[in-house]
Amino acid sequence: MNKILDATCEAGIVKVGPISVPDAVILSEGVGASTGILLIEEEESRYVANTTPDLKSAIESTIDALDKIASSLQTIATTLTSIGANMTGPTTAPPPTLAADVITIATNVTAINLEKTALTTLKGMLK
Amino acid sequence: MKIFCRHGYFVFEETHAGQISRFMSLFGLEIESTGDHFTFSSLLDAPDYSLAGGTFFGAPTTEVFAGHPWEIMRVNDLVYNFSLDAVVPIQTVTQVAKVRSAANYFLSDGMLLPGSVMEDGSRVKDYAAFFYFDEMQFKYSELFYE
Repeated sequence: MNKILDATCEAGIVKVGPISVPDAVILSEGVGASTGILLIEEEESRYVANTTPDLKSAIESTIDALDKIASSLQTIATTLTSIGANMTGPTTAPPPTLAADVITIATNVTAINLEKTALTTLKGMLK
Repeated sequence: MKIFCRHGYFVFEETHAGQISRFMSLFGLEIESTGDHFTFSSLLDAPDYSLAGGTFFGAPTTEVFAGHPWEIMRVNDLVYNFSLDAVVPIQTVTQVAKVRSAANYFLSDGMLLPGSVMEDGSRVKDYAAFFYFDEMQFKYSELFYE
């Protein structure tokens, strides 16, 4: 006979309400605080965390990073097109938007690095 | 009427219609149907799991377990004390079991209290008994104690 109970887990400690279940086998990383279910089959108990928030957060960070990369590549392409257009005459002047484009690209690189840090943190706190 | 004591959880079975109500009247006990069997009213809707540090009908539990009520009572060393109308730790039962051996069964003057102490210090855990209304006698075909 099996029993499924709502449970929580924090720092590797599974609880059903206020009661700890120290012998429960945690079927995930179990580092970050999570909600989930405790499966009991006779004297065996296993905790399954709801890892959807972790997955959602990771996907959102990845999408943000890809957006920044795509935006930066578009800026680079636009700038290179402008530079290429100027190379048909005697002028050596850079396109007027170059400085702003470089700032945009640098800002995006900073944002991508922040997303990378967030993903690294998430990796160390998986539920 | 048949009486099964499964580690302090009781199952009653009629061998003739109306025996449950007659038995209840005789002994002043409350017995009701649950699922596929009759049991004491106080054992209705028994939890199907226990947690260490939790309770089972108010009695403290020490083990994580999911199963039938009698299995939960077994792993947590609990029995139903029908004299007190309470589930209690088996160690708290102090009543002495007075059992006589007959031809191919055992006899007692009343229904044996689960957890009651035998002469050798062991405790009654499980039994299968018949109650004979004409003789007002409990006869035990199986009796397990440890």
